[in-house]
Amino acid sequence: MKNLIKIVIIICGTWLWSYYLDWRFSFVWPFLIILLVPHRWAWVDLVVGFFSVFVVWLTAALVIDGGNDSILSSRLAHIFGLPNGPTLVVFCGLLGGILGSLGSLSGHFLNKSLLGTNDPSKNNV
Amino acid sequence: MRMKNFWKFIITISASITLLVLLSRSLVLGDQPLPPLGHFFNPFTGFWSQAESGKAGSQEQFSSTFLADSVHIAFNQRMIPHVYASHSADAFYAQGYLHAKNRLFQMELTARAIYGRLSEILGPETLERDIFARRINFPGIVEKKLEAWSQHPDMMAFLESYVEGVNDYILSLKPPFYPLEYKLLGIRPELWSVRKTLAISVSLAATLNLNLDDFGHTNTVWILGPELYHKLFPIFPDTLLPIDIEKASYPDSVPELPSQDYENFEYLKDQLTHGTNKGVGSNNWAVRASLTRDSFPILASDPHLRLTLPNIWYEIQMHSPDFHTHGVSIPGMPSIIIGFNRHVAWGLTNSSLDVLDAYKIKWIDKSKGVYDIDGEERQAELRTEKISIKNHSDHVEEVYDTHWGPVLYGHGEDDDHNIAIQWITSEPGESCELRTMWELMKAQSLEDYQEAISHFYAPGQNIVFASVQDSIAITVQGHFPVKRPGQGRFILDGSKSENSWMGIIPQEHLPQMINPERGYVVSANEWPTYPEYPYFYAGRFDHYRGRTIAGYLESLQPLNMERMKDIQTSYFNLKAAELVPRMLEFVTERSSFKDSLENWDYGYTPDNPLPTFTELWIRECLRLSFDEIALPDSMRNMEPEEWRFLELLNDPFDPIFDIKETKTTVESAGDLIRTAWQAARTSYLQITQERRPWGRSNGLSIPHLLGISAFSHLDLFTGGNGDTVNATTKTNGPSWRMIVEMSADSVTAHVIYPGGQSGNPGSPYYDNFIADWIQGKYYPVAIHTQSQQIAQSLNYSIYLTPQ
Repeated sequence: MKNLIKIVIIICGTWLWSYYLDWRFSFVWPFLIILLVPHRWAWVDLVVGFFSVFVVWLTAALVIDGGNDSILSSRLAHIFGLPNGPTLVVFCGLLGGILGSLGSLSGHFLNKSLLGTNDPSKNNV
Repeated sequence: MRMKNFWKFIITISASITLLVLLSRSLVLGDQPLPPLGHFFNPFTGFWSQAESGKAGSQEQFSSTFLADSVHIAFNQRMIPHVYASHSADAFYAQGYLHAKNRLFQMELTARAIYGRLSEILGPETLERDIFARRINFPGIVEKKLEAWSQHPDMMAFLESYVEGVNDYILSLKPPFYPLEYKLLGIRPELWSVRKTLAISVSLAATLNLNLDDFGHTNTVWILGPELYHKLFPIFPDTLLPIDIEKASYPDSVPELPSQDYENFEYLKDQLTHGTNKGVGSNNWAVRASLTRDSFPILASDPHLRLTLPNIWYEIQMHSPDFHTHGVSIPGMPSIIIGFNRHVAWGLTNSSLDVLDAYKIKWIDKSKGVYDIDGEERQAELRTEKISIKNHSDHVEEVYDTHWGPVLYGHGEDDDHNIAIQWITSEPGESCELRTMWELMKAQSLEDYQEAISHFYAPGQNIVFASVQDSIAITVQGHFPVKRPGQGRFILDGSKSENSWMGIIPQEHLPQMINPERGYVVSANEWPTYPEYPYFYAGRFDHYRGRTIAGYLESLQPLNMERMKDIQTSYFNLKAAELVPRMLEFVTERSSFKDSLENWDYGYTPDNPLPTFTELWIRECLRLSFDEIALPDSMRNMEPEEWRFLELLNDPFDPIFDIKETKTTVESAGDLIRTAWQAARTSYLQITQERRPWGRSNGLSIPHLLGISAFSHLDLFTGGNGDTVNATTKTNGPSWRMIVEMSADSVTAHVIYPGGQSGNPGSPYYDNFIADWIQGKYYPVAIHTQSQQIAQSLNYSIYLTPQ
């Protein structure tokens, strides 16, 4: 449940702030959230970070691509050696996901190295 | 445990930083430079902002302190803006705003090309172009034009209003909405200026009248000697049909000048090289009411230019208390360049007269820039040009400016190619082309047209005109130097002041026809006059399209819109129709292939393989006939035109037909044509069956301005060539087709251009006209003085309001 809340917070925060801030914010925001509230296991935070930002980048790209009938994505796909527009949309989502996962993982380990243990009573959220 | 986590943190944060840095930098994929990927792919700031969705039913507002009154811009379904303004200056402001909104990168790239600043954003690949722009001193010409235009304060006010419109748009543009090309190159838009608009006008001239054939002709006359040269390169063909056919109207009080003396070219101790562009041509014509079915005059205009995406033209309809005009504009310039209003219509073709001459400088002390004219020492001015190159150190180019003009090639001590050029475009006098366009936009009569065009100096144009009062006219308009017979065909001796031009041909002596008896006027880059015209001129003229059009206008009466469309899109090739039957007379072989050539209608249609063979055959005939003009590959020469080859066939035993490769035998025209036939057959059979149709071997490509193939339309299935009225080649074609019917009740037109209104590759309006253009379709257009009248309105508007 708490993971779900973190996902929602990361998704909402990334989405809202991305209109005003640099793309690197997609790394910084999950980093901050997980730094404050990490899970016991690193892989869980990795999945949370990846999934949240993946969803944001993918959905934003999908909405735009739909309104554009994939005109631009299919043209750009050629430049990047991808077969078609939808692949470019997924690629975009993956790129966001990687940023998110690296952010959350860094946040996780920083928290652990500062606060010390993997004590389940403290951090199992 | 803490330590272990610390190291894990170090590893993940290092990996993260590496990735972030990589995604923040420009990369190269193959040959393709890529922008910083993190920013580029981000759906909130990156390229996705250029993925436009439909605009139907929407409205945009923009306010400016510059506007005197509100401007309403309504779009139709083709995204053609209809500008409704209460003041002309506001209308030009709106035009600037629209150009910037739709074609910002195109404008910037064109201005940069003239300023020799391409390498700054594109790297060393464009350095040669920048060096040329700086050497020939395009930026200096901009300054001279600024001086000329400044003498027209009312026009400058319009121009400033336009510039304001462009800049207000640029300043409102946030980085996520920069056009895609800016994102790809990782640059930001520069502000626009009056000078940049003038640079666009210099760019047009550079495209149309920067003819460096003097170099090729000089090389060729060196190889051939004067006698053979003049035999192969007569100035006029035997079967001439010029623009102005009324010999009686030619000026008769012009003093005769002695021929240009080249003194065996003693001053030219070396030979020269330079490439040049070919294939810029256009058609226009106008017919009087008496020749048309519905008894209205009709005007047609289709300028042929190098085609790109976005297209050079931006279609627009503009309304103000002064004008109600529809037509095409050039992004970066206020006004409508080719178009019509409720009273008149006008169109342009290039006049092709040679207005650039080259002079060999006789240095006394080159290192100090001292040279000789008439035995006197003259001092050249040294100009130092610094060219910035992306990711490289600057390139410094030193140029001498002489009495004649800039030294175009060579500055090093060892370099003997010291040729200065004099180009009419660099001498604007008091001319202001904006005044011409402005006056044409609001013209109501033949007199208005004549007054308007008199302000136009370069690039020289054949300006066709028709009015609802049933007047038609054509004028070979521009500044053309008065020359001695033969002057400027070859590089001139720059040490003699007598080799100067002797003024310009007076306006009243320019070739023109008004309401001629035959009922029509036509131009297609052909000779402006018969040889009886008293002023000498030379140039690169087209011999086939104008005669084809005249033939159609004679034979297809009564004329109407549909017939005009058929003419504009005709693939009939008069060159083939004249040459092929004559050449076939010499071919003795009997074959079905020969039969098909004999029975052919000479249509260069895309599905027909015969044009592919014909072009191979003609090319081979010309190569073998003119093998006297053998130059190393690095040297540029000239080749006689096909019409001259046809004329020479009148004497099949002329020594020109002897093939040099066969040293022991002497060939006649028949031998040569048969040899060429065999060679062409062999080449033709080597082409695979699928590639033989003309549209496959010669299809048009329309590249994106940066050559990005994903944004281009390549290898289209098109017919025609430079000799057909529908002059579509691999690179060039009718960049705008317009046919206007001049009914007194309502002037209507049919138009199309190969592209789309938006310069954004992510817009549905980027290339939406291309398919229809290839099929020869047109879109109907009318003047709508009120936005509610717009046919097929998109219900999309922009409101510009004063603040």
